[in-house]
Amino acid sequence: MGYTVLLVDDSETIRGAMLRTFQMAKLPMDEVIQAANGQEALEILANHWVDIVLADINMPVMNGVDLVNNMKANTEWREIPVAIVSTEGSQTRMDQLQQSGIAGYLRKPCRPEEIRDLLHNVLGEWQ
Amino acid sequence: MSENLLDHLHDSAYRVLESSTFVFVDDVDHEYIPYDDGEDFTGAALQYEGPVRGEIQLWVQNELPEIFASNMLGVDANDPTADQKREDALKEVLNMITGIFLTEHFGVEPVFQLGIPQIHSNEKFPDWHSLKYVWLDAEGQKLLITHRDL
Repeated sequence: MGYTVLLVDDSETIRGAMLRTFQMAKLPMDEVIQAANGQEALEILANHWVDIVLADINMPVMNGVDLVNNMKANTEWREIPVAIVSTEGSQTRMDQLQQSGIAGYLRKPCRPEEIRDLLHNVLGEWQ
Repeated sequence: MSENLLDHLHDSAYRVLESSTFVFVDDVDHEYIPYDDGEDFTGAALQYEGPVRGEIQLWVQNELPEIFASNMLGVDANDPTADQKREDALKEVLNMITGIFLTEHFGVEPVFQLGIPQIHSNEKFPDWHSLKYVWLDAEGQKLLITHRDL
């Protein structure tokens, strides 16, 4: 059994780099679904179950903060853990997101072992 | 303030380049930098806005975007989309440097909005002597980071 991850970032490059990071961390992935913004992520969630959402903050159309708020307001999605992976380091922003119920926060650039540790902490060890 | 700014630019760039693009970075003696026209350089610029506004530019010698794309994405030269991915990698390196710089320099309280990184050809190579700047060497290629207030 591996993880099903929804990766939300407007940069295709960053999504590609994250996929490479998953490989380097030897993470067992069943599927990595990609979305370019929060709105696309919500549309994907309507049709797919995922174990975790990894989302950027600064994105066009719908940013990561609004994505978290939309998920937490929806009874079907509110239990899905969301971790933020962003260049942004503002404590004010992080406090807002913690209050919204995010499961974790990683600052870009992040090392493969940080991604691995985040997934372990949020989802537990895989079998 | 100015020295701090240069230290923070330097340290932010070091951190991103070594941990994200996996290149070895060295300092460069600024007195012996011969590059004034940017002939073989490619650049990217990113503006930020919050309590203050500013712009950071990243200029790299032309082999570096390929190294970034290769190390970050596993892109090889035969990839038909390699040129675009090299530019994207350069933009993302600048995006990360700017994000780290803002908290290093202004602290963790202010909230900043970052703009969209723009790629520049060497015709827009800046008069770096008149700006706050840091030169670095990565894998034998020179790299310039500049900052200006807006």
